[in-house]
Amino acid sequence: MGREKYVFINKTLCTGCGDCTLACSFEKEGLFQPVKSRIHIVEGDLAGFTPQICRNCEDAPCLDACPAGAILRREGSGSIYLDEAKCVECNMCIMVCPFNAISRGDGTNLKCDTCDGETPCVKSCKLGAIVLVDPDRDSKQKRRKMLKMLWQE
Amino acid sequence: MRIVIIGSSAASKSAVETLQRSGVDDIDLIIITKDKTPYYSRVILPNYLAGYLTEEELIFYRIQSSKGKTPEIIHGVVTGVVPTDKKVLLADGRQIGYDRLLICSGASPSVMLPERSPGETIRGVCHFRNIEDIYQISDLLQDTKDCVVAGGGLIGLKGAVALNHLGKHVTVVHRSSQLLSTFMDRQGSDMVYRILNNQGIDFILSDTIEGYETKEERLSGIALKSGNKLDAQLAVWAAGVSPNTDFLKNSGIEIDNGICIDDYMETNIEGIFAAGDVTRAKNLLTDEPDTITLWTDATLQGKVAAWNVLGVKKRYIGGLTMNSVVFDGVPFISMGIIRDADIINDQVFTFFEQERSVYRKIVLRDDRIIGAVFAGDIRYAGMVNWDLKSKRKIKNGKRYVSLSGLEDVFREHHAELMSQHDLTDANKED
Ligand SMILES: Cc1cc2nc3c(=O)[nH]c(=O)nc-3n(C[C@H](O)[C@H](O)[C@H](O)COP(=O)(O)OP(=O)(O)OC[C@H]3O[C@@H](n4cnc5c(N)ncnc54)[C@H](O)[C@@H]3O)c2cc1C
Ligand code: SF4
Ligand code: SF4
Repeated sequence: MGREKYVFINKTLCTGCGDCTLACSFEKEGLFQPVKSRIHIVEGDLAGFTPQICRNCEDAPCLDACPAGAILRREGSGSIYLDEAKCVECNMCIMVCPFNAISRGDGTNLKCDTCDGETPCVKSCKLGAIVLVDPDRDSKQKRRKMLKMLWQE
Repeated sequence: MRIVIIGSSAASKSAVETLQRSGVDDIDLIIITKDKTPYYSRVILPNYLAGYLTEEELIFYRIQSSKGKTPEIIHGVVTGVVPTDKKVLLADGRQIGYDRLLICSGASPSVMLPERSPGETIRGVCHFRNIEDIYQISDLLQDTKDCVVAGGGLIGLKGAVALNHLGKHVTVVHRSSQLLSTFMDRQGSDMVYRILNNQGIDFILSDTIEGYETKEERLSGIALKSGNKLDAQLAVWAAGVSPNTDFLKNSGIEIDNGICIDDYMETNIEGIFAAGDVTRAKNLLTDEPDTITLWTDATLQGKVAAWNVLGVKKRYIGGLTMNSVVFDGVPFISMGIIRDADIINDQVFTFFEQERSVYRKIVLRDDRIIGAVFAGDIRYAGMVNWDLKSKRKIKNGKRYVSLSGLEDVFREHHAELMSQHDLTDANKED
């Protein structure tokens, strides 16, 4: 499996086909239901399609807001995940996530957890818009640059 | 460097985490707490009372070792701080020295419980703040049919829902004419009223508790200011808190309804910092000192304080009132200035759809968002929260109250803006 990585979606390549949302919901819930996906696509016209997914913020507001200790940071990669068994569905995380990356579920809120590195969404994207990136967590500067690159306009 | 933190709750957790992630090696961390179980979450106590969570599940954080060092937890009650000796005094006589001190001692209910005789409270009247209060309430429930909750704020209503879930008849007595008078505007609070009333919870508004009736030393009824009486074997107070600063009386630390701190979370005494419900700090929207007693503010303050304790200057952007709750499956979120009385010359945009219980409201002042309400559909609440905090200029407020409008905002510039500036690093480095 190698080092843990983050899922990033290159907005400029995304055509909004929604394959990743099906792959994600099937992986997580055993259902082909985009509402259960941890990735959502905001449909667009000229501005293009905008995928919504967790960016694993360095200073994750959701983690600070969660009063149940259900949002945690992985050792090593520093990626942020949601422990569904601990979630009390209070929505504090939704209240503060700038990226609309957390959605309400049934029994727990939902958020991308990078699938422990085995990510069906990456395989599902025919255009290669979804990539796993190796976060150089010791260099925030680098990470910012990488983000810029991936979201170039 | 020896860092002592008083308290083991929201602000403390966030500070410990930040200190351990800071990359600074030579930290000896000591946490002093009077909680028997460190780091249990007060916010989810209602879920515990209702039986949805076990006591174990209340624990939201477990101390971990970092760089081969494990923070030490001292169980004890702090009775004093002596800045000249750099010492913390405990009730059992122990003295703990520090290089830097971070006070995260939180707040306690401001209402005094009625006494049957000096020092002895009436059996059946409780607070709703600590786990010990829940033990007490649970104990009393066996022979309780009717409960009165004093305070129709968010905490009171969460308590009322829990007691109602346990099959008790609940009446909420609220001083103001509107429920949730700090959390919601009239429209939002009416929605909540209807939902909870449907579940069988009764409300008495614009009234307060005047007296208590007892039978065989146990509460039997409540007398209201209006002259009305209620049967009650249990009364739960959930109305306001005041900062835990008694032990600082002779310390020289400046206190004015909370520990006064600067933008760097430092008190008037060098090397002593404070964070969480115990502080009086700047309000993000008014720039005035304010006492905000919320989880979200406590964790932000804990984080900022931790950096400054280490000597890394990070400025606190200011406290913001915001909260989130779900009643009978309907989610509610509010942030900033939203109360009808506080909105004067501001632009207000609303959207309401009765059928699906969807309500959105945006308040703009000088083209900036200063308040928002989301009910029924809370998507993009976090994006709006960010726009509010970053005080970004908004062109068209109307777009913020429809889903398609919010999607437009997100698509057009939000994602891009976010990626270019690491705005999630909320506290500007100086
Ligand atoms: C029932 C309930 C529901 C709530 N719901 C919400 C909500 O929905 N949203 C929200 O934002 N907030 C909510 N809150 C408020 C939230 O819990 C507080 O804002 C938060 O706990 C503040 O954290 P803190 O670290 O500042 O202090 P506190 O949580 O008050 O903890 C203080 C700590 O200091 C210790 N301490 C105090 N004095 C001493 C002493 N002399 N010696 C040693 N140790 C001491 C205590 O043992 C404790 O560990 C709720 C609170 C309650 C009670
Ligand atoms: S869920 Fe949102 S706030 Fe939390 S880390 Fe991901 S993008 Fe950041
Ligand atoms: S909804 Fe769940 S994950 Fe989000 S803040 Fe609440 S408990 Fe934490």
